Amino acid sequence: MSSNKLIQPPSTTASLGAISRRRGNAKMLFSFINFNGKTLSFSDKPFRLRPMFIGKVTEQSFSASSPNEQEVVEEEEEDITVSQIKEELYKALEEIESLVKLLECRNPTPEPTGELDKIGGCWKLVYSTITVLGSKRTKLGLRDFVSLGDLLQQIDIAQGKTVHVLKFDVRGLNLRDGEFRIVANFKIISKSSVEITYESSTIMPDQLMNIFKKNMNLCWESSTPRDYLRSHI
Amino acid sequence: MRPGLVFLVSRATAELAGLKELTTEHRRLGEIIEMIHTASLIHDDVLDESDMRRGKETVHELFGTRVAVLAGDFMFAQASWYLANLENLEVIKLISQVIKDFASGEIKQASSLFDCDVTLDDYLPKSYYKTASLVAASTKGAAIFSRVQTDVTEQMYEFGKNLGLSFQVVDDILDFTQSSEQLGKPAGSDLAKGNLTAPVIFALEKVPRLREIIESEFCEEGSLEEAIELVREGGGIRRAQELAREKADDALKNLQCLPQSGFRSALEQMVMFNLERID
Repeated sequence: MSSNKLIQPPSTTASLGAISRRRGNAKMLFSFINFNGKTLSFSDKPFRLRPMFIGKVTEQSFSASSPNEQEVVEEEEEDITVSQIKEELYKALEEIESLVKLLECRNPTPEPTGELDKIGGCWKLVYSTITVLGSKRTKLGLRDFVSLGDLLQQIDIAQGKTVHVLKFDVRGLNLRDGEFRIVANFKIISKSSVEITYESSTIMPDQLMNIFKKNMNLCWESSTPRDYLRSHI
Repeated sequence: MRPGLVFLVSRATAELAGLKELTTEHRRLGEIIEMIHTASLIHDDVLDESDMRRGKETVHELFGTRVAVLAGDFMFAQASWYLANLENLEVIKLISQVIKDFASGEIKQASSLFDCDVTLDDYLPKSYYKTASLVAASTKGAAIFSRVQTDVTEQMYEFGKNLGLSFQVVDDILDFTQSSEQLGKPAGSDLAKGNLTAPVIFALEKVPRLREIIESEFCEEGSLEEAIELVREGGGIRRAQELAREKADDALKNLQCLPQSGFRSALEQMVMFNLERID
């Protein structure tokens, strides 16, 4: 197997809106890297990806970008203009998205709810096309006050529970370890789907609960576990 | 325009009180008002990150943010000192309130960026804080120094408020209708920043697509231009013009307590001149 490098998707939760492109129906694609070392993704079906498999996929879709080309790109970095860089970025995004779709089609687990142990554990969001723009962005303080960190998801198969943790900073309040937690339960309802019920959401530290209480439903909407879970199942 | 208003109101009301000349207080009031106005512009340009104003570079563009902040502070401070030295408590309170109102207006605006649910009931107070408050305080202050009766000073306050609102609405219309050369800054800049003004608020009632574009913060190529066109098509400009005229009419009514004179006519003409900008 040749050693083509898989381009690591950037962890973009912290840069919501930075590489944002609005689609007609805001599609959500997720790529989660399991902390246990497995790499899994995307929209409808989970499956296990071994390094060999990754190599194969990249070879097929990266026919145009051989390692040589990548070197050339690096050399010419200084000559490249801002709009050219943006173009490359958009192209890279398209490649990521088409890779995601490709992997979706290769799901080896057609009845995922029978093999839920594959998605148990702690997950970190690595790539997302979600953007928080407009009035939501203003109301959640994302323009001037709040900067987002990692989004983690803990899935406990035995208890049928998931806990979403969105980390954030509020530099103005000297706050480094803020967390927005959403706890939800899930129940298997068919061979390939689960029903998700929201249980609770909290913001740590307590003082911030008051500030965000009014806009809690916005916080909830912007990071609803329903969609994140669907991306595994 | 603002000091001009102070002097015209001073003279127009002075007649009622039998004053022959403008007092030093009137003159000082005009200076104070202009300093406060200028200070607010310098700071606004920092907040908006504007590099052009009236076709020229802004203070912070030329000298940096630090100088711009300090210059604005200096002018607010000097204005406050001269105000205190006028030793008229009513006028001191009146003008100090304006500086409070500037901040309130900016905060109100910043916390509702891109919020398509804003209504006229949000927009009018915000416009009052940002613009009309200063004009109203200056016209009322001028009347106070003319030593006229309270009902006249109150009418002068209302005159300033309605003129100020009319002026702000016209400004907001021009942000859509003028080209960048005429404006001295890029067209549609309010909208681009998410500051939704009268034309947009009216158009949002009719054009659902406009809401979508605004919520997306114009991330699609050409969407700002599309939005500007939609504001026009949705009757936003037209209805905003009606609003400007309505406030102008109210302002003219407020002048009726003044005796007929060249000064009162000049004030009426200022109201009309403001409207001509959008005819």
